[in-house]
Amino acid sequence: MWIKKVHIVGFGQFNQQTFDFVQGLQVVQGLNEAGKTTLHQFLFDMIFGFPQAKGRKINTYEPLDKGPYGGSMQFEVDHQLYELERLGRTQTVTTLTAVGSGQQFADPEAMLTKLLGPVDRELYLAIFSFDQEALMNIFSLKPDDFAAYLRTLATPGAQNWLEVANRWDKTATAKFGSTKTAHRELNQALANLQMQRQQLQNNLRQQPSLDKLQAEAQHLTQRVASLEQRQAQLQGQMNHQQAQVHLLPVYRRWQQIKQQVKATGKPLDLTAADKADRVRQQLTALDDVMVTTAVTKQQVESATVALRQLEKLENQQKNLAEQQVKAVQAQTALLEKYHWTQVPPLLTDQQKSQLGGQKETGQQSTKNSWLIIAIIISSLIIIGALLISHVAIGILLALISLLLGWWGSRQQKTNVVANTQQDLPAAYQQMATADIFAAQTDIQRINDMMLSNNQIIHDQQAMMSELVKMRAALNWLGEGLTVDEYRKRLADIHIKQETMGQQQLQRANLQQTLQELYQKLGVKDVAMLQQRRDAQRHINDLQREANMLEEQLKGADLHELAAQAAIATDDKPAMTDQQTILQRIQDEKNQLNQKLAEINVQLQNLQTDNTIEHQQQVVANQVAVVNQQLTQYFVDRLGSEWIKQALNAAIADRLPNLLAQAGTFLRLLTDNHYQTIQQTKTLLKVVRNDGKILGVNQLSKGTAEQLYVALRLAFVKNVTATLQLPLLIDDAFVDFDEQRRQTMLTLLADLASSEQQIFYFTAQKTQGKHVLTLTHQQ
Amino acid sequence: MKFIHAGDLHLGNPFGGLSMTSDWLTDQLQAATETAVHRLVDDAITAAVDFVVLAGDLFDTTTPDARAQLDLVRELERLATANIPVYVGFGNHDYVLDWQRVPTFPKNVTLFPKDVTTYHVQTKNHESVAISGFSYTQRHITTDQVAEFPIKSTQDDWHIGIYHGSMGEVGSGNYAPFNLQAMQQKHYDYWALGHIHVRETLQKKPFIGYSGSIQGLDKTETGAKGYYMVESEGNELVPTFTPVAPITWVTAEVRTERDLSTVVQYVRGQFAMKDEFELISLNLITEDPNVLSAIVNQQLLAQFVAAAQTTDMFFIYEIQAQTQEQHLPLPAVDERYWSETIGDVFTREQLQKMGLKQVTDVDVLDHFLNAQTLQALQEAVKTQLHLSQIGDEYHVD
Repeated sequence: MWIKKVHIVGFGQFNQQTFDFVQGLQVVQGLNEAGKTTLHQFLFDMIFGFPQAKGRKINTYEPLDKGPYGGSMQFEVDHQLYELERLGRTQTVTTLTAVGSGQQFADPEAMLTKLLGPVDRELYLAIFSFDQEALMNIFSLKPDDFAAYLRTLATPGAQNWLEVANRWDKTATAKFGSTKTAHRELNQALANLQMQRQQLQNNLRQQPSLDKLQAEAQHLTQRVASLEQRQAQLQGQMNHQQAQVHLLPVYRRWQQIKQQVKATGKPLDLTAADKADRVRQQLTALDDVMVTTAVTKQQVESATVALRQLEKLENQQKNLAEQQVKAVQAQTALLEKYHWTQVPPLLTDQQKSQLGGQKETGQQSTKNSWLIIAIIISSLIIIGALLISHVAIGILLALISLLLGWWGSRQQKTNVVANTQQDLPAAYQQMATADIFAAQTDIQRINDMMLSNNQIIHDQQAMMSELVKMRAALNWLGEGLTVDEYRKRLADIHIKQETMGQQQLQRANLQQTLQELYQKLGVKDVAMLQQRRDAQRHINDLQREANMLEEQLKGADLHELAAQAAIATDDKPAMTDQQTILQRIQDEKNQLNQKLAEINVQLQNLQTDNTIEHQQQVVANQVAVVNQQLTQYFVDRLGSEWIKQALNAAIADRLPNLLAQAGTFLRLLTDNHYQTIQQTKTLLKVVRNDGKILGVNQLSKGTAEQLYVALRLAFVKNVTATLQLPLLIDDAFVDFDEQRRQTMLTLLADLASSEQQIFYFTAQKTQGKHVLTLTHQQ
Repeated sequence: MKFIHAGDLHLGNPFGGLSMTSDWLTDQLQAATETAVHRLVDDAITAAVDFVVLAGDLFDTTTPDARAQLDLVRELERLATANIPVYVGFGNHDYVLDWQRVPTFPKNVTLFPKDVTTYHVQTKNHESVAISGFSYTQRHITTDQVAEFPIKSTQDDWHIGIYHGSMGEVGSGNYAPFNLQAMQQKHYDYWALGHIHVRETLQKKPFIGYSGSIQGLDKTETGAKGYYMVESEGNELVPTFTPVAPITWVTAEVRTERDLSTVVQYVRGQFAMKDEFELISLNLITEDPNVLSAIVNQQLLAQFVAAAQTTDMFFIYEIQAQTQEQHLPLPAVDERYWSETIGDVFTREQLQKMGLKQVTDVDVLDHFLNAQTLQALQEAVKTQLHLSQIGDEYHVD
């Protein structure tokens, strides 16, 4: 930049005044109060604008005549001429016009900034504009500051990038404060993250531990299982007991029956019993058909004997009767023959002798006729009685008639005896004696016959008793029966007896079998058997009941039942105890189950509850948010840092150059008294010609100022290529001795060029081509 | 002989790196790993595999969320019902501090103890299979565990090693560093490896390799995730990858010159047809300064999140701006100054100095102390520089 001309409308002591300046070194000299500083300030303010604040400490160079404030300036940048006008201090009207094109810039300040490059007021003050006072800064100057200035000034566009860097830094720091309490976006995000993590941790801590839950669930399940087992056991016991209680009567009954059954001993052998009954029935049946006869064999035998006797007797009797009949017939025949009514007795020897013995027989015969008749009658009676079956009566009548007959015959004898004594029997009287005698043989025969008859009768009578006896003996067979009948009866009886015998044998056999069976069955008789049968039936019933009971008792512990049956029936308290225990178990189980259910619910909840995961995701997201924000932050910060470092790197090699240049200048200015400038991180050092290294504060004031000037000039020289800002030096070298001041001026003259305009304001007279002298008059 | 080799389920681990999500997506994310495991179990049952091996990191932490544990237990119970044994070795994430605290697994599950142990199982075809493995009982195992594995016995038809760890020199790794040669010397038919989330085959025959994670849980785990269905072919065990992850992380590139008012709709249209749900890291190639600005300032992402619908089969979780001119020179000073200083700028120390030291959150620290993050930051800074360079005038903030 070449400031060609300024026109001051009103600024400090200047009023409507125009100054022209040369390119290169422009010396402005004048005595004190001539306006050197005012012009210096005007130039500066034209470039950077008038000071806005009005305070005691700031000289605003109000025009002394209170006239209009400001002025204009023509300058050339890159061979372009611009005209800048600033009028008014507070509300300055600034216009910037490209003289060549006449274009007036809408935003003169922006355009100015562009034209000035990265140099702002402060930087300009730091480098390009200095006075003696500014040189004192050397004592606080740090190499880094130079680096910073260098970075700013030495690289075209660097300022832009530095601005970018600064903006990024600003953006970044706006997001992330370096203090923990900063309420910036990132701090907030980090705090949120921490909070969310804390929450997550809390929730995790509050979350029931799975393994514990599972372990507890397992434990509870086991406990429940064992309780259930115990319960089942108890329940089983109780059921058992209940069943026992229930079964107890059954058992008792069963036992009772069993005892009863046992007491009955051997069970009735039903086959035997049936057989016995069958046998007994056979016996009974046999009894029904039993031929019973009271007749004994003896009886029969005696009867047989008697019958034989009877038969014999009867035959005899028959014979006798026939003889009698014959005798009677012979008598009759004799009677008829002799017309006798009756057979005269045999003649006694006397009569015989009387008659010749004829009469005796007669007498005899008459004597016996009564008896014969009686016998006949009695026989007839007996026969009749026999015929009419009134044997006894018959026999009685017969006896009576016989008795009558016997008594009659006795009477007759006596008569006969009496007759014979008197006379011959009547029957003889009509008869010839011969006849009488002849008849005597007949009579004798008849008498004999009669006699024999009598014998027969006698025999018969004798036999009769026998017969009666016999008949009596046979009476049991029937009274007054014929022999045949008797024989038949007897035969019947005999058959009967035979049958009876057989039957009795059979019966005896059966009886024996029965007895044997009875014996076997242990009974005495049918009644007892029946009793036994009934008993057995009862037992069978009992047995059946027992079987049924046994069926009920099946599976039951009989020993236990027996034991229980043995003790009293007050099972109830035990039962209640068990019930209590059971209840307790049930209660505990319920409790455990409830706990288990709770745990399961918890587990279920855990299984479905994704709040933790949700929260984890939230945290992860927050991490991402933080990362993203922090990334942006770091991008800004790192970008900024990188820009700065890259720029630093770019100027890094310039600093040594700068220091070398400054060293050269210093050597020049100090007339080789000081050789080079060195730097540490924080300090600048100079090497004296004796090789001693001195710190800035070890230098004399003049030398220190010279060092500063050397640095500034070196700097200016260094950045000349890129920045062409005029250098404004205001009486800076007052502490320099004359020689050094001359050297300084030479140096400035050397430095100044078509590229670099240098204003040197001085109160001292200065030799040179372009010297502008300010006077009060001007 | 058929079995499933899976690992790195990381149940209970949230999806990382999603700064903006919707509730419906959160639900979907939470169900994702479970769904993947469920599918694995479905497949195991359908294929009637002889057994399942899980090579560690079933859970993301030693103290996983109860629901995650119960879910795994439930799935393993399904395998139990199908009479499929499961062999589990715990990894560095779910290492067993206290065996008492391990959830109650069903009876079909065999957990490998701390020391290398061999179990035998009979396949349905009456082959004898030896399975050797171990579990982590501490976060780090610095020794090579392969040495503890027995050499394959002639009595076994097959021998399978389960190993959670990574290749490396002893002393240099924390995850049971092993070398391939040692594994080879065991003459196993299959080494089922876990720990590395990216599917990786270290040796083809006999197979030594990682099945990878079953469900990608952050942007580094892109692509299909699942398990290996391993089947015998002759005297070899051949793994076939089977994807089961219901959510896939992908990187997509969309080139468009649409303006801010239509770009969201347009890009969404590009992803309309998806079979499985995708989490998309979008590289948007555009020159539209407004769009670029909206990307840089996260506004576009917010628009995408707002436009997301429950029926979507994708979710755009981050957007990188990409200008068509990929290799813009860095501004102001010579390239060499940028590259000279890059190493000094992008350092952990720098991050710490700039404020990371204030950060106490482990995950955040982990993220930023990761070399990849530094790399990503570097890229992001470059992009930002470029954006500044080309669009000084549209800086919004």
